[in-house]
Amino acid sequence: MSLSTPLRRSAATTARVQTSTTFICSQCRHATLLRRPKRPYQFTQLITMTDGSTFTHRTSSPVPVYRSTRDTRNTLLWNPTSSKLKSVEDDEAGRLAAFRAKFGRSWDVNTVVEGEDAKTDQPAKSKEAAAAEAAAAEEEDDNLLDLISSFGQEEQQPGKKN
Amino acid sequence: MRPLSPVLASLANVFRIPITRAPVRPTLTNEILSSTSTPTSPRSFSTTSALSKRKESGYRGDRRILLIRYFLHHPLTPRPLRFSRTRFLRHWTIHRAWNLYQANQRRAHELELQRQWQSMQAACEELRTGAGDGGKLFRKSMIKTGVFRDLVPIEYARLQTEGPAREGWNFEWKRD
Amino acid sequence: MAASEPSRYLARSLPRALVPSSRHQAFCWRRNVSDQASSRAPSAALSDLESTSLSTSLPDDVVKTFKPLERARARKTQLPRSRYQFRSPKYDRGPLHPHRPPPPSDPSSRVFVPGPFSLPRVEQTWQSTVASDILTLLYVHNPPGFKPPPKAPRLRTWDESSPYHKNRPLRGPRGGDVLRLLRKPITFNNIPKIERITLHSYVKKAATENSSWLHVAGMALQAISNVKVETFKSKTSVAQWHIAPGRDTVAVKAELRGENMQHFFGKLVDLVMPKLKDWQGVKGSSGDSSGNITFGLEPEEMALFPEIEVNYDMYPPKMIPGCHITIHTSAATDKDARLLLSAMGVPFYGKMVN
Repeated sequence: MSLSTPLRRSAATTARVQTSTTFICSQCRHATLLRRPKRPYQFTQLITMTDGSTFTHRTSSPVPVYRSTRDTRNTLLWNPTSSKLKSVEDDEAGRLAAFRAKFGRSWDVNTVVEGEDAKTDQPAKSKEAAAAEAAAAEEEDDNLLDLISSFGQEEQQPGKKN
Repeated sequence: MRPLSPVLASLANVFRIPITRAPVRPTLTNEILSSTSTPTSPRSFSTTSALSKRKESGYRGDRRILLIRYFLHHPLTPRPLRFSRTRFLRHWTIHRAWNLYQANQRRAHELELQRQWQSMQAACEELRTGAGDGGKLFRKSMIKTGVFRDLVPIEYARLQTEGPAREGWNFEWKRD
Repeated sequence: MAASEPSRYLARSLPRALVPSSRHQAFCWRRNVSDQASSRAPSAALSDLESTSLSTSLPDDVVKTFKPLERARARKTQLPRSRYQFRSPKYDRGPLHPHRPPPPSDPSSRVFVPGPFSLPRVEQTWQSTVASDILTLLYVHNPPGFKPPPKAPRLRTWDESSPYHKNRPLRGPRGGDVLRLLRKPITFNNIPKIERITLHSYVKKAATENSSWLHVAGMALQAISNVKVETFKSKTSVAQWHIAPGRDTVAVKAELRGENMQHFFGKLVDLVMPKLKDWQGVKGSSGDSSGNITFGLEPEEMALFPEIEVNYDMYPPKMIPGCHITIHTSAATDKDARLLLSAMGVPFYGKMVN
């Protein structure tokens, strides 16, 4: 009894000293506090992917249905062989080519063909052919700039080349 | 000047809200959640919250952070379930039955994998000894160089879904 | 716990006057210091030693008056509800304590977590296709009776050139001190699968500015993973950010297992990864060479998760953290783990480094 009273008194004083704003979370060594696990609330969500397939999953967002605009079904990285997602345009009827020939990028088509022609026609003059090829490649690169800057010199340049 | 209850005071401490300046506040949760509620006092004519309106108070926080702190540190957790005898027995029975069912399924899956592996082994042994080409085909089949380099083709590696797609599975697809 | 219950009820139902005398002989198997010092005679202690607890004799009137069923029937009103229900103790005081908490699967336990609510599709995919595919891909045929040639032990012994080599621990492997995991040939019983996923984000502003960064990071991780996060203090000191070890809480971590993990993985692969801008895949050199693959998400990429996308306004946009996602698999090497993940739909790029 004489032993226990000062202990109890000291415990009482420490309890009084502690401010009322804090929870007492300390635990003694021979007992483990079993905490209630905290789990955020979860909902079941239906997810509709872009190709119409659906699945449900548990999530913390309360929206019941989620429509994805971009997922594995319409991304090129997940469909490397799909022709739909590649940016290659299939021009079956030749209408795109006709449109281009008429309205835009016709100068682009012409220069490439010219370069190829120059390469095939003169195999003997190797140096000049190589120079022409380089020029053609350059033309291919920035042919728009060339077209603008060398608009009036169209007659001179083929003469130099050939 | 009524002091706050200890729970509210500790919550305010967690949210870094100075409680010495604002002792008249009825409850913290009401203050947070009733910003859009019907006006009951002349204070609600202004959209500025009272704490940030007051110049001398140290509270200069974001409302969103206040809400996040509120929901992260909320001390209330539902108490453990307390079942009566019958309900506990019912729960226990279902729990044991579910465990048994799962163990059976796991066992069946393991056995299925073992069966596949053993039939693979038998086929390879037959190919090695009984094919009559001196085991050339077997040696070809054991070359694994591409497995770890090329991995699984990603078009084949699709997770299952619960509802079908519009086009369905492309059966013509082949690896290049 | 169940075994101690009847004796407790018995002791409670006994008449109060009888309890002290009978208790010392029958019910009290533990002896306290105060008991022995004050009330017990040494002869009583001796008799206690001799008599086993099973063969103790109760007085006849005690046995006759103990009728719990009749007593329960004679009761006019029901007991309060709490008397019919078990309350788990709040503390676990070790295996020798009379009040043990029930097992965690018990619904009355304080750590009980209600069970799986769905059958995740990632799990189903693994079971139906991925497991047998990996089994087939990694099959290596050994003829019956084949024994692999014995390998040298991984820990080398010391050559006994010096007398000081005696009783030394074995030497580590050649070329580095790291003892790597052993890769066993993959058969039907060790097919790799995903064990757990760890989300981790290091918030340096939590140390330099205030704790709101940490709280927002914790909330964001909790929203995308359905798991309460843990916080961690810094272990290293970073001088320019004024971070001292053990003082500043700088990191949050969420560890996903079971159902949460499967759903998170499915969501990550099918919804989040395709939305990443200019993303080629997980780098082929990532991994800790024991089967755990890590990759990171930038802060603006975290906003692509549907949970954050839905109420993006809830978070201060500057404070949304980036995070590291570690996928722990049961594979022992990175290449097996990579094969597993690629079979589940994660793209890889670059040179595959084991």
